[in-house]
Order: sequence, then C-alpha cells, then structure tokens
Amino acid sequence: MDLVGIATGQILSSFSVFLFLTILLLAVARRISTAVLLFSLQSAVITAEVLATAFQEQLPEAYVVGVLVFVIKVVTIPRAFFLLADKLKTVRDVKASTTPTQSVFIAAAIIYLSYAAVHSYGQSMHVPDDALAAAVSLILTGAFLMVSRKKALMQMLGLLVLENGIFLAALITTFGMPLVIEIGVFFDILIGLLLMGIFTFRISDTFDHLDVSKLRRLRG
Amino acid sequence: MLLLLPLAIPIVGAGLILLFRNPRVATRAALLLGGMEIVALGALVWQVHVRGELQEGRYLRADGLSAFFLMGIAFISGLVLVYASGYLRHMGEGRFTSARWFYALVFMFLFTMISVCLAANLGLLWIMMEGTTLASALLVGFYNTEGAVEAGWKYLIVCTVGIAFALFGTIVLYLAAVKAGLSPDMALDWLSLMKAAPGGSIDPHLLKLAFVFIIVGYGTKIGFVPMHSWLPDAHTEAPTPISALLSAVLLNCAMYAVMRYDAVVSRAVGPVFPHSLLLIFGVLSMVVAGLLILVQRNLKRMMAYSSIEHMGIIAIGLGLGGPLGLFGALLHSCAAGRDRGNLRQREDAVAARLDRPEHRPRPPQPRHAGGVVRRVDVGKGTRPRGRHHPGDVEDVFDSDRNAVERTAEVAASGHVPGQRSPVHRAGPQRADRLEEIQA
Repeated sequence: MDLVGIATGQILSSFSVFLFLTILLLAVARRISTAVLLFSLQSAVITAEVLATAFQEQLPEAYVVGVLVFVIKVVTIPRAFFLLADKLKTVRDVKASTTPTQSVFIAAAIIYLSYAAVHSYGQSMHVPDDALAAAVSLILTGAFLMVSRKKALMQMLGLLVLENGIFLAALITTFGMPLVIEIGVFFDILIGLLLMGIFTFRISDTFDHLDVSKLRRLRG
Repeated sequence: MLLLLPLAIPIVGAGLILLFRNPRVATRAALLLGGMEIVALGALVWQVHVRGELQEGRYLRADGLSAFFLMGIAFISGLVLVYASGYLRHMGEGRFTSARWFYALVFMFLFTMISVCLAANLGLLWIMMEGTTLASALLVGFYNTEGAVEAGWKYLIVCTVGIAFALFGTIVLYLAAVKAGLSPDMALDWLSLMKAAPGGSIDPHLLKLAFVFIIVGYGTKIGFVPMHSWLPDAHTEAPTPISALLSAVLLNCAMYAVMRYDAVVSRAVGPVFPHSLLLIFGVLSMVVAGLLILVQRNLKRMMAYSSIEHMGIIAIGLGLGGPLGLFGALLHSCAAGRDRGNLRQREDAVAARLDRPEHRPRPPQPRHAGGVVRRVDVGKGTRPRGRHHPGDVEDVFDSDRNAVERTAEVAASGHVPGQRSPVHRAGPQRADRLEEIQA
C-alpha cells in the first residue's frame, strides 16, 4: 500500500481522538489566545479529515472544500481573532463562570452523552460511532463555551466550534453538501464574523468592557 | 428573467445608494429603486397568477405561496421606504449610521428576504435566511446607543445559533434524501423532495429529527416562545421602519421556511408529528406572550410581544392543518403583517405625543416639581387612530396614565422635552437619545 493510502487510513481512524483532545483542552483554556490556537488546531484536524475523505472517496469537489476550510478556518479566522484582540486591547482572560476542573468534567460528560446519543443512529447509517460522537460533542461544546464564557470574543469562538461540529456531521454522514451550498455557508460565516467583529468594537466603545454578561439593561 | 429582476434591483441598488453621500439624493434614489422593485415584484406575482409556476435555473422558483409572501414584502417595503424618508431627515453622517448606509442595508435586507421566498433549493433558503440576520443586524444596532448595541449583539448571536441548528436540520434532511436515492444535486430541491416524499423511501426517523431541528432553528427567527428572547429587544431598539420590517416581513419569511419543510415532512411521515410540534410551539407562544404583554410598560415592547403572539396564532393555524387551517394561517399572516406594519409606524406618532415617557428611566426633575400635578388631556384630536386594533393603542393611554401625568409635570416645570416642533418629531428617537446622553 502506498504511503498516502496509509496516511488516509490513519487519519480517518484517529481524527476523532484528536478532536476529543481539543475539546478537553478548550474546556481548560484560560487565555483567549490559547483558545484561538486550539480552534485553529481543531480546524486543521478537520481539514485533514476532509482531504482524507476526498482521497478515499475520489471526490474532486471535496478537495476544494478542504482548501477552503484550511484557508478560512485555520489561517484567516485565527489571524482575525488575534488582530481583533490586539486592537481591542482586552484582558486576555476568558472570564469563565466555571472553574477549569468543572469545565473538564462537563466536557467529559458531553463526550459521554454524545456517545450515548449517537449509538442508535451510527449503526443504521454505517458511520463509525466515534466520528458521529465527535461531531455531536463539538456542537455541544460550542454551545457550552457560549453560555459559560463571558467575553464577547469567546462567544464568537464558541459559535465557530459549534459550526465546526455541524460541518463535521455533514462531512461524515454525506461526504459534504453540494459545493455551491458549501461555499454559500462559508461566505455566511465570514460575513457573520465580520459583523460580530464590528459589534465587539461597538460594545467596547459604548461600555468600555467586553464582558457580555454585564449587558443586561434590556429585560422582560 | 422575471425571477432575476426582483433580486437584481435591490442588490445593485444597495451598491448604487452607497455612492450618494448627500442624504437627500440617497433618499430619492431609494424611493425610485423601491418603486422599481415594487413594479418588478408586482409583475412577478401577476405572472405567477397567470402561469401558475415559474422556474429559473436550478435554484430559483416561484409558486403561489412565494407570490403570496412576495406581495406582503412589496406592500410593507413600499410603506417603510416612504416612512423612512421622513424619519431619517436628521440622521447625521457616521460610520454605518447615515442615510445612505440605512437605505443600502434595507435593500440588502430586502434582497435576502425576497431570495428566501424565491429559493427552490432548501440549502439556498438556509443561506439567505442567515443572510437576513446579517443584513439586519447593523440596522437593529443602527443608533449605536447602549441599548441598541446590546440588542444588536443579542440578535446576532441568538439568531445565528438558532440558524446553525436549522443548518443541522437541513443536513439531516439532505442525508435522508440522499439515502433515499435522490442525486446529491437534487436532494435539497424542494420540488424533487415533494415528489419523493409520498413513496415512503425517505427514512421517517431522520425526517422527524430534521424537522425538530428546523422548527427550533427557524423558530428562533419566528420568535416562538422559548427562543424569543432577542425579539422584544431588537424590535424596541431598532429604528421604527426597521421594526416594521422585522415584525411584518421577516417573521413571516421565517414562517414561510417552516411551511416549506412542513409540507415535505407531513407528506412523508404524516401530518401528526410536525403539526403537533407546531401546535405546541404555537400555543406556548400565544399564551406566554399574551401574559407578558400585560406587564409591559413600553409601547414598542408591547407591540413586540403582540408579534410573538400573532406568530403563535399562525403556527396554531398551520398545526390544525387542512385547507381551512392553512387558509386561516395565511389570512392571519397577511392581515397581521399589514397591521403590524401600519401600527409600528404609528408608534412614533403616539410616542411623540406622549413624549415617550416609557423610554425615560427617571425624569431628571424631582417628582413633585412645583407641587402641582396637572393632567394632560389626551383628547380626541390627538388620539391616533390605529384602525385595525383600536384597543391596542387606547389601552396604552389608560394603563399608562401615570406616565402621562409625569410628562405633564415635566412640561409644567418648564423643562424642554414637553413641546416638540413637527420637525423634531421626524427623528424622535434620535433626539430622545441625545437628550438622554446629555442628561
């Protein structure tokens, strides 16, 4: 067997472990920059998975998607985050409302729950349980990060992790959506992040902080 | 061609308007483009009426249902553009907050909503639905005040997460369709899904899972009750023409998306499952929003909860199903949409008469300045007529008598905000905010 084939097999069989690793590390990350790097790493794992799938299933369209994921999620978005954090001169702490120990336990519970949830679907769809569980736990971790971290930047990051999970779910179950739709989704994400960037500037201008949990004038 | 024109006008128009720095020129250009857009939409609706269905390429399609919602968009957007031309007269020039940005964003918003109604492919429908959030987020935060920034951020985050769940639902539906043997390119095409649905080849479990995610996802945009938290804030803090667009058109567009999925799912797995979900969300929204209206002191918030309640009623109509239920739901969405559009634009007139006391956290003066409390007579002449729900508007006068009295005190103590010149009224919110900041 040639080397590329072996690498493909290795990636496809082990990528979920790496994703679980990034999930657990994201739960303990205390600095925004660490979290952004972890997101970048996570996207790199997903890129490898896309390329491996493209090679194994002989899908030329998936190569394009793989390149898009790499350019957007591994390079552009983390850079934009660093630029934003730099411009905003924000404190580097993520301001978690749970302690790192609690976060790790919650992340572990999320992973366990995802395995339990996908068990019945995995077999009927001929998809390995690990991959599906990784996708579902990415979605749940993203949601968890959004509710438990108070910084606006971390909420954006949580959204991106959630989106990674949805993307992964689409990839492993159907080898990705049609290319046109996929590009549209990427475009939407980029514009969405741009707008959130504008809003973080506005929040820091009007409130002098980026702590979203203190935005509570409007209620009822 | 007929399908492309209503999409081309707003997107090209948005670019054009950005070129006009002069607000008056921008306003005129917007009115002109809006007129063209309404004519184009009218022609499209007429052609659908004559020919039944129109298809353009693989991604655009118009049938009776889309034409119905397009009529609503045309009507409300016309009203909004005319109203905004007066409303924006005193808009300063700032980053993203000037007349030209306002109109450009409104046209982008219109573009995304019209594309939602014309999308033949459920993937494209999702992309454009997310587009509506993106196009309107800056409009919701248009005033850049504390409240507006908070509402804008909330709107952007809550709706994006909601829509992300809808994307997951779309993917599950796609998975079910591909497994049932549809080609990947056509698996999200609504028409081919409708054709494949009755055969029973699509996995019912996956379809049900997809519908749950869809109704939670698009339900966030509709404002169904557990997911409604963004709606009152966004409607209160947005400029009035935008709240009119949000409540009269955007919510209906999201409902339109749910209808499309509902049609496919009820055909494939029977109407019981999707319709009971719709009924649950509908009743919950109607009851909870109806109760929450009672404790609101702010006119705009009341209107927002009334929107949620009406969307609940429409969902109940859909959930009851059958030709009568569907007819009722559509009739209500038509009537309530036009009503809300009209009433929202009346709000400012009402609020200006009342000097918007509900927006003022505390009057800056001591409560019994001068010791004389005079009642303002809100007589017949000043009472605005909300023709469709007269009760709504008048109730505000009764329940908010305290606020009226407070206004009277303020006026009596000779402090400014009591009387307003008509010019001042053109941009009441902005002016109010300025005063608030200065105070």
